Amino acid sequence: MSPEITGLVFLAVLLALVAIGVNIGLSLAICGVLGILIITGNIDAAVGILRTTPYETVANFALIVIPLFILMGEFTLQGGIGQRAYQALNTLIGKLPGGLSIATTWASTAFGATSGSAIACASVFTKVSLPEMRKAGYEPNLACAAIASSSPIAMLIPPSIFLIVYGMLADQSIAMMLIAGIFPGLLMAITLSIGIWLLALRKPNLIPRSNKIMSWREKLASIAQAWPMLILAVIILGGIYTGVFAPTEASAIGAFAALIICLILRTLDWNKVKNALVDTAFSTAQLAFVIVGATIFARFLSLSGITTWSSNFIVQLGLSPFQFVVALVIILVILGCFIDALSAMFITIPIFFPIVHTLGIDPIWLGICVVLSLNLGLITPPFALSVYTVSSVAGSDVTAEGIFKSAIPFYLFILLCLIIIVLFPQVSTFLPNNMLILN
Amino acid sequence: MRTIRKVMIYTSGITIMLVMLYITGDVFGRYFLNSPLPASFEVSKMLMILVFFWALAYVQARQGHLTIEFLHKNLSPGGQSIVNILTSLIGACVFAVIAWQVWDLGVENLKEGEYVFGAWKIPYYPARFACSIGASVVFIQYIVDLVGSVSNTVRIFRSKQ
Repeated sequence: MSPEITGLVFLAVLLALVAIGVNIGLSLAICGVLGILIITGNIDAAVGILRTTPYETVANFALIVIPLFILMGEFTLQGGIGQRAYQALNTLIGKLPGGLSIATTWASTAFGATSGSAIACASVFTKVSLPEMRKAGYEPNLACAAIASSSPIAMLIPPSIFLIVYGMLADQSIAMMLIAGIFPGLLMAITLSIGIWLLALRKPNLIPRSNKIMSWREKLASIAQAWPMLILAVIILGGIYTGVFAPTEASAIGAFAALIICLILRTLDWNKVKNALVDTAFSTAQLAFVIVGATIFARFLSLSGITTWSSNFIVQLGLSPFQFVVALVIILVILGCFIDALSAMFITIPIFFPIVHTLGIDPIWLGICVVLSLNLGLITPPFALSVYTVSSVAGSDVTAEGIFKSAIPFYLFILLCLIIIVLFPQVSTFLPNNMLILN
Repeated sequence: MRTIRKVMIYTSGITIMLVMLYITGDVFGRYFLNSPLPASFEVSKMLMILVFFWALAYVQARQGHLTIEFLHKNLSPGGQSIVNILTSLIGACVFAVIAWQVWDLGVENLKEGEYVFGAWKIPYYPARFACSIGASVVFIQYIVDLVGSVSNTVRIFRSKQ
């Protein structure tokens, strides 16, 4: 069997294993090891890959950002830091048409600066902002749709676990990947806000204007509540952008600062710390396991020569780099409906990334396109995790179907945002190319 | 087994906290005291081994690994438990090899007295052994799961007859 055929066979085996429900990390690892065994015919080579790769992949300084950013996210979650940001934004823009929803969108954006979890974001803001929107007379399904649609923003705003994982799999600078997410994340917040505002103007019966009156003193007090979020955002974004901190250092200091803030606010007890630590270790092991598998599998793929072969195939097809990206985005948007974004990234990046390299496509721009395309699946049926999270937290007057229906206009606005990001790579590449210190 | 897993996941979590404090201390030391902590790079890298390999058995026991479920859910209970047997078999093999190979590497490092080059002389072998111990516990967990899945499958097929 030629190495290329072996490559294709094990690719098929991998897809079959993953499809029947063998966990992804294990499927990647075993296919990689067996594939190397067959190509080299040497059992020492196959065993050797398990001798070095898992250890070396984990003992990697860049990998430390993952547990530390997750820990920071856990602390901010336990400390109710997101809630405070929402109250402040609500005071600032709550009176606009659709203002309470727009405040949710921007609070999700701010929340994204301390946590990379869209699910946490959806659940926090359903608890915090839905009651306010209900009081103001918003149609509950529509209000929930706005919350669910805002949650993918947290996946773009640094620290985004998705962009870190992409950076690791595609061997890109983590600092540049993180910074690249800022403008696309803001763009998404802006497009969604415009969407909500237009909807509120056209259907004021569904989204009535809020008429809550607050004194200046109350307003100031409420805005001042946002300080923890501001501090964390400045440490992370400012620190990495200016090059004062490497991403790993920013993650450690961010987590430390979040802990101190929680202690000052007295929102943390020993039990919560314990939960935060266990959850962080859990998520880290879960992710790192798949990273190890994907690394082994990528070794095998490049050894099989299938990556060169498929790049040549794409070149022979005569696809321009741009056409390739458009095709990839369409495939990923569809894929994202059925499998979660991280799993999809682990399986597809080792396969398509070498092609990207050959075609000379900007890997940073592509990373943003990939992450956004796959995360659209958070709000599309059948597996829309964000929508299900919101509907399970919201209560009985809200149904997943109702949210799906109400979310259609928001979905179109997010698609528009994706199109802008695909058409104008500068949105993604401007900031990373102009970082003060390039690491 | 439960106690071992719990002790290991707490160790992993506390290690993350230590890494956080160590790196934060390093940065503060560098900017404010002009003396960074020694070897924060090497120490953190080795602690990551503890974080990852010692949390894995807990994740495995909680069925927390990233899995694509939508086909799996539609399989018959018999089909599902056969897939679980397959998963446990592959897992046991992979982690047995990792545990054995990395232990072997650790012994080699210990004999030859190999160190990480840097400000501090840190030997390689403790992290290798920690990795191997973690992988061994994951191996045992897969064997426990295997036994569970096999008896489950037998029960399902018996009840069908």
